[in-house]
Amino acid sequence: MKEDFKAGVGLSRKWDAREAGREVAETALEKLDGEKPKFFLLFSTIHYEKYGGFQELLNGVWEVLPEGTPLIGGTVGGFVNNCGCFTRGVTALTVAYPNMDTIVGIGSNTKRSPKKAGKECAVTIRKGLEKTLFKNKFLISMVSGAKTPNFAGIGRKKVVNVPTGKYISRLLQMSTITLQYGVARSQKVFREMDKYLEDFYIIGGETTDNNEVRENYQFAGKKVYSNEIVAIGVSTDLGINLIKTYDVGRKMKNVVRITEKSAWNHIICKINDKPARKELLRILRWPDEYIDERIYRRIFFYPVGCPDSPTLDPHVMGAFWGDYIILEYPLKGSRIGFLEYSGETLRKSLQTVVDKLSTGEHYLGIAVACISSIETLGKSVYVIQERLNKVFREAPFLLLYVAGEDIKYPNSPALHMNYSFNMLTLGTHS
Amino acid sequence: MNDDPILEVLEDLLKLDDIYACMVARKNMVSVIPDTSKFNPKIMDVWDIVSLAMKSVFAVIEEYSSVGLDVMEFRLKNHSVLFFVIPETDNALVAIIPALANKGLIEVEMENARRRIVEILKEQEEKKV
Repeated sequence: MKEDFKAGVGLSRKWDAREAGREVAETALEKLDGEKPKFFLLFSTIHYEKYGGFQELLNGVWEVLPEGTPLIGGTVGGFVNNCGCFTRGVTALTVAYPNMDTIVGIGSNTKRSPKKAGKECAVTIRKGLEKTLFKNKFLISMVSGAKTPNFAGIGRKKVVNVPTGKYISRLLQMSTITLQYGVARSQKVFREMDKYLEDFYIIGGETTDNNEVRENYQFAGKKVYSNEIVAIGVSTDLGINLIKTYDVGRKMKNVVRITEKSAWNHIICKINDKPARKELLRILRWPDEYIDERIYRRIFFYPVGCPDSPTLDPHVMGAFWGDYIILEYPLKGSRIGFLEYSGETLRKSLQTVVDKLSTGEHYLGIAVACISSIETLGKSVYVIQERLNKVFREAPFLLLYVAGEDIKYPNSPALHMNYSFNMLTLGTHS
Repeated sequence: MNDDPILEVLEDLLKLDDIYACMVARKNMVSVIPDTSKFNPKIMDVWDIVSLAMKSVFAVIEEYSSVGLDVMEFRLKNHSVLFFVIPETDNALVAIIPALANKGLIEVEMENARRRIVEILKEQEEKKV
C-alpha cells in the first residue's frame, strides 16, 4: 500500500446518539495517524432516531472531526465492516491521501422533482472538480429511499386491502409528489446525473430504516436531510475498480404478460389482463392469506425479473394496495417472470465478488447490497464478512445494506437495481 | 450498572424494539434474565404457553447441542421464539419477537449477542484457571 494513503473504518455500538457520533469518529480517525481526512462517510441504522436523534449523532461526530471535512452518509438497514456485521449501530469510513480532490453535492426533493435534484447535485460535483489534476473520478451517493404513506384510517401499511381502482395510482403519485411519502424515484435522479458525470464511476444506494419503509435520513456536512440526494465526488490518481453482480440466478420461471402499468411504471395493475394480485397468487399457488404484513418474510424469495432485459432487472415487490403490486423501481418491458433466489445464488454472487477482487492491491472497498440479502441471510451474513476480511486483511472495507442500489461505469448509463451486490475498490488496478 | 456482563448483553438486546423478551436459559433453569419489568407487556398474554413450549425445545437442545445444534425457532400465536445455542453448553440465548418482525435483521444482533456471551464465558474460564 502507498505510504501516504491512510484509511480507517470506525464503529460505535453506543445507544446515545451524541456519544456514538463521537466514538465512531474517534475510531475511524485514529487510523489516519493525525492526517487530515479527505472525506468522511457516515452510515447509521435507524435506532438513533429514538436515542437522541440524527442531529445529535452528527454533533458528536463534529466534536471530533476536523472542521471542513467533506462528510456524507445516511441511514441503512445494516452494515458489514472489518469489525463484524451489524443491524444496530453506526459506522464510518475515512481517507487521508494527498493525491485526491473531493466535493460534496446535494440535490433537494428527490421524490417531488427527481430531475432537478439530480441536476443540482451533479452540477455541484462537476464544477467542484473542474480544476482537478486527477483523472480517475468516482462518486459515492445516498438517495432518500421509499417511505410508506400514512393514510388516515389505514396507517402505514405495505398491504392495504382496499377496493381496486385508478385512484390508487393517483394516490401514490400525489403522496409521492406532495408529501414525499411514496416511491423513491432515484432512477430518475441518476438519469439526470448521467448527463453531467459521464466519466465517473458511481456507487450508492437508497437510504432506509430497519425494513419498515417508514422513514430514512441523509447526512451532508453538519445537517440531516430526509428527501435529498447527498453525494461526494472524488478525483484521484489511484486505480478504481467497480464490481457488479446479482444475488439472483438467471433461471426464470412463470413468465407472464403485464397488460397494465401505472404510477411511473412502479405499479403493476394487470397481469394477463387480470387483476395483478389475484393473478400473482394463482401463478405462485399462494393462498390469499400469504399477502399480509409479513410479506417481507416471503416476498424476498420471489424476485421479479424482466425477460426482455439483458440484465433481467430484478425487482422487489414492495407493497400490495388493493389488487395492485407496487415495485421499488419502474418496470421496463411488458413481461415478467420469477427469478431464482436462494442461499446458493447468494453464495455465487459473493464468490463472483471475491474472484474479481483476486487481482490488484485494494486499499479500501465500499460496497452496496440489497437489504433483502441481509434479511434473507440473517446471522449467515457473517459468511460474507469472513470472506471479505480475508480479501481485504488490514485494508478497510464497508458493505452497506440499502433499499435499492445505484452504480455507473464511465461512459455507460447509470443502473438502479434490487438484489445486487456491488463493490468499488481503490488501489493499484487501472 | 450491573456487575454481570452477560446481563449487560441481554439488556442491550432488549433495547431493540422487536425483542420483547430475552434470556440465557437451559432446560428447567433460567441462567441469566434481565429485569422482567423491562419485557414488552405484549408477551404477558402468551408467557405461560411460551414457557411451556420452551421446556420442550430445551429437551431437544440438551440432546443435540453436543453434536452442533446451532439455532432453533418456533412460532406460537403472534410471536416467534428464537434459540441461539451457546456452543459447548446446553444453554441458549432465547428471544421472543413479534411474528411480523424482520427476523433476518434481528438474527444479526442475536448472533452478535451470542458471540459476546461466548467471549465473556471464555474470559471467565480463563480467570478461573
